[in-house]
Amino acid sequence: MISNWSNLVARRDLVRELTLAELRSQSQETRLGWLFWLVDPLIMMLIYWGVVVGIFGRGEQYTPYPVFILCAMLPWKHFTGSVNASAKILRGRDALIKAIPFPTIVLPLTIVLAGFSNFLFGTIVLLGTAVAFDRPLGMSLLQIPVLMFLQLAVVCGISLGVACFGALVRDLSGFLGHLTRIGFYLSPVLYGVDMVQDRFLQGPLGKLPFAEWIPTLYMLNPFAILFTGYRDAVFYGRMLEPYYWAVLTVEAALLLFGGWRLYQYFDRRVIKFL
Amino acid sequence: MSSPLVIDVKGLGIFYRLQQRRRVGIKSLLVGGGFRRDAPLLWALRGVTFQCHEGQILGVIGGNGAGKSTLCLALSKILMPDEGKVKVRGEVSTLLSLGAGFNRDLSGRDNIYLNAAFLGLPRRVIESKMEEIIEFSELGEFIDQPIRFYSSGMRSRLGFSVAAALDPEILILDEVLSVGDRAFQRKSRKRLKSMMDHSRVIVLVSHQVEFLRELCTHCLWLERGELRGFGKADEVLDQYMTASGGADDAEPEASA
Repeated sequence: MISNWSNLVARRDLVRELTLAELRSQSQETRLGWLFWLVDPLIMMLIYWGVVVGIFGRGEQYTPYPVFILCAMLPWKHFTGSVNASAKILRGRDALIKAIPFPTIVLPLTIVLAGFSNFLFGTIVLLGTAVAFDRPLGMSLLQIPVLMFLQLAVVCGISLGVACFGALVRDLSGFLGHLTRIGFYLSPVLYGVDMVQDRFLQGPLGKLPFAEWIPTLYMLNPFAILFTGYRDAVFYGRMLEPYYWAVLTVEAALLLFGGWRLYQYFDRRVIKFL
Repeated sequence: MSSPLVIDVKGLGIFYRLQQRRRVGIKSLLVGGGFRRDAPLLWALRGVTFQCHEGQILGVIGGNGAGKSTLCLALSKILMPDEGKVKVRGEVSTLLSLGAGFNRDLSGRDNIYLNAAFLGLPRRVIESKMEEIIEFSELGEFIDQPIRFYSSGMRSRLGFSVAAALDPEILILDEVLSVGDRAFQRKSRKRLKSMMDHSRVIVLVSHQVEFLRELCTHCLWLERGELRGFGKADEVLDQYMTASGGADDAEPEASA
């Protein structure tokens, strides 16, 4: 059964059951159950807060830092979790793929969806933290659902592509950890995009050739825009610039479409590699 | 033959690239070896042509590596043909292995929903058949335990019980009949026979000649990916027996 849209719609029951099964098995493996989905982002936030503010004494311009870091960490975790799992999923479920005809695209898709549900729990923590630190929560929060939607498209698109290559290239999942680590530091998770602009427009790095282009190029990273968007919505209480909305929407559409087409191309071919 | 055509296979060929079946690493990809077009091909099936009409029960026989499993994969649309055409009219249900979609951390009950979703059974159908499935599996109170605590026999009993809830138009079976202890085997065979009564076409892969002779109307004999015989079950099975030395072939191995 090929992974096209009509088969996917026909098997939407499977997408739902598989996502629920994934979430259920996550929560049943842990003693805390679904509470862990709330505790997990809290712990991560405390660690980064402790390291960046407590030990290195940085991030004073990003006070309250817990809100600032959660805005980026939650979507980043959704992305890395989905991509890492997608790289292994087709190889991991080869027996299933060769036993039952079903559109295999549901496998990476449900990973992304289950991760997204975890992310939704994380946003509860984010909003709770924002309230606790007296952030100006208002109309800017209305941007969040749109950002979430675009995030879902970006993560889906990349995960679909990674799922194909993970099946073809066995060593991908080994490299992926390093690639996402590089991505972590290249994306404004621990710091803000203003820092990039400052460094390359004014500081010593500003003397480099083409330095004035670097912040613009930097902001082509869809995650740089996503994190900025969540920070504008929750941390600063303002609207994301229309230019960034436009870039992010185009990128999300391209990534989703590209990942989808790539998966369709490799869909049945990949099975022989498993 | 006036009954409608259900399965129409013309010149079917499926190959595996030997290079691809081994490791393909980033290095070989960069150097260009991984996708080399001249990598040796292994034709698991080639030039296979046959037709199956409504009401037929088709047995597939052949030695190990004959291409029986690959044929099942092609008929159930898991693998696309590299050559030729496979046309199947109607909804195909496949029993190539039992409980392949199970999640070890979930209870038997949750796994019934999950496995059923893989097989394409809607949730309301499963809900109405839930008690029947649990009873058939003979798991009793274990049904609410995570299946990582199950024995392999219990697991395949559960797998068979979910599959038995299928009401297939076209049923493809690959040696999954020996499940559980003797009592359960008898029960599952009985259930299979009643499933067969409701199906339009059945494709049955087995090593057991007598079993096929008993059930099938037609037979297809594959050897090294090529069609050696196709026709009335008795004739093809006799040919097969003669060619394979007439021995009582009780090869218990599963096909590749």
